[in-house]
Amino acid sequence: MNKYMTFDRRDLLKSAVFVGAGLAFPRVAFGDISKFDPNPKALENFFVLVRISPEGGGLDVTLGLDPWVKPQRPLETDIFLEYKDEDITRAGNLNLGPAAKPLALYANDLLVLNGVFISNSDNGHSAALFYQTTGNGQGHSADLPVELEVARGSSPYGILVGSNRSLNTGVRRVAYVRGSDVLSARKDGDPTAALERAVKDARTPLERAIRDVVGSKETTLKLRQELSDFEKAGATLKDAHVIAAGFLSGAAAHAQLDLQTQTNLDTHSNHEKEHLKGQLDAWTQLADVFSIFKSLPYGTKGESLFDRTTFMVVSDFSRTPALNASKGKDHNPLLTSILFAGYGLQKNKTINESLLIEAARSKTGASYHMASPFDYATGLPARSRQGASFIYPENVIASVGRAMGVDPSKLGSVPANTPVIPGFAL
Amino acid sequence: MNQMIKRHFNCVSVRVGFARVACVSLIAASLSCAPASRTSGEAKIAKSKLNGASFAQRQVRYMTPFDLMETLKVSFGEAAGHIDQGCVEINDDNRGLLGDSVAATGSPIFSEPGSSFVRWYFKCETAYIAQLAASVGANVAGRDEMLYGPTLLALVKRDPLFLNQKFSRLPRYQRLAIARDAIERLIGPSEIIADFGFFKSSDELAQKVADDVDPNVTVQEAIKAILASVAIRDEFLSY
Repeated sequence: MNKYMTFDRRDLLKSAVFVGAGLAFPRVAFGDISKFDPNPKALENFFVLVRISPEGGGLDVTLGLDPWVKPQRPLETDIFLEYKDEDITRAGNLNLGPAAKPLALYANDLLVLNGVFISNSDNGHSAALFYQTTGNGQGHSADLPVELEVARGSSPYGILVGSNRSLNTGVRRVAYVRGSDVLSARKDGDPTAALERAVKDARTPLERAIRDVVGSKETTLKLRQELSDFEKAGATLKDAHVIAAGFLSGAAAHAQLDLQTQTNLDTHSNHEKEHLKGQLDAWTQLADVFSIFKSLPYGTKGESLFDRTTFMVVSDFSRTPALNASKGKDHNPLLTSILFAGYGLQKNKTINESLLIEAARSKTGASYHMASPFDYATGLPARSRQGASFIYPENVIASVGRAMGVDPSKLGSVPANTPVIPGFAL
Repeated sequence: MNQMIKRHFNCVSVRVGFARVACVSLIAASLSCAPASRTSGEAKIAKSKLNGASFAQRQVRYMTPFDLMETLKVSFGEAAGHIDQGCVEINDDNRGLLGDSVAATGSPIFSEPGSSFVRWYFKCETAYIAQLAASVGANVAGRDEMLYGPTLLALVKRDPLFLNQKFSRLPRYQRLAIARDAIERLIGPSEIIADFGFFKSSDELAQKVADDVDPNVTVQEAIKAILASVAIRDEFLSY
């Protein structure tokens, strides 16, 4: 089992030290928000963590980012594949299964990380997703956008969060606002005008907070203008628009976006066609998000907002390879794939792979589909035990930090000296 | 200072935090100066204030998330369906910014209200006040009193079109009386205002609140602005 999924006595002691340090040096432990500047120098690159069906999903990677491309088809009792080889889109160094076909348009901007190992036992949807979004399985860490906000500097609105679910802030003090609140606040007129009149002093914490909101008035106006521009162009405003407007206006630099599929992705029964439909929906929604960001010019160098934004797209875990008695596929925490796009990453690239252990080779008598061991020295799937390790979520988080220009040791949710994935960041 | 005390007991305590809490506890325990009419919502607030805590308990002790939700309902009426559920109940989205304690650490993430709190709170108080204003009518007993206060209500009863005139055109004594009514209903009488130390009396705070109203708005809009202005003050949001 991955050591970060457990909490032993040593972890308890480490936590005690951390909490103790927090009490003694709260600004060091929790980040210093007393230096909050409502109009800081705007960051020039952005980050969006996208969670697919965080209410309980888990994508069958064989239908999307990690399709079966080997010439010899496996036994259906080992791995159920509902597509033919010609249904796979080959785009340079990427292979996209039938569900991920909508992403083909953006293949030159994508990095696919296959063979990420979460856990050797199923701890459920929330734990697996939490581990991936934080890089830490201990349950009280902050999602990556939060860590980036602390490490890279705060923005007037803090982190923009999708309308449906919450943000794991751990012990980090960061500002955040839901996309739906940004949209609904537009109906109330300009809040800063009313607040400005209400409080002119900054004697108490509340008054200082009001001052910060009032101080970001220009940003608020810009944000609203960006949203109005979307509407004028005929868009029905969604969270993705709020995030894009937030980035363009300087209101925020980090965001978390949830994509909910119409079809349940947690197909423990009747997997065939149903899961494909749901996953196709997810990748179609993501392609729409990319399209929005691509359409928005950024700066004077001919770049788009997409070019300045790093996207990280996760789902809970993959699914077991063979169909169960209910014609479904169950949770498979031995494996997941994570999609990246945009700023700071190597492009049109696939890192690592998955392994199918056929029933005939399996000690349990049932086939399983798992992350390939990875050689951090070569950046390739490991071919021998020497130097072999797994790509864990903490390695992913540290690597994204590096791509965003953040020293991974500054990310509080991952242990110091966590190896970064070679060939990942530019 | 306990909101219940502020609003109903006129119980002027010494201004040292511990002594103030002790006063609240003693009074709440004995109910020695409980008002004759006390709603269940108010009783809930009084009870939870003895147990709950929010943000860090520093010089200014802000309301717990639960108390805040209840106080909004008591002050502006139960939320109807069109108010965001996030303004009505504590959930994962608002828990952190409201200063609720994290189970893992026993401490709140935010030691004091931040910009997230202000954005959230302003949205919610505006929604509550808008709902209160929209629901006012002959069939809604008590709502007129809650929205307008005695001075303005008397003027409106005399002349229903009174609400449509510009607030700045009212005589100053009327503007101050309207603001004072709102302050005394939401926070408490002069002694309570003075106890917080920002203003010497409700009259002095009423001057500021009334003068801060946009001179171009109608009386109807002004009363909403006054309520919003009072309800986002430290005196309203802290004990």
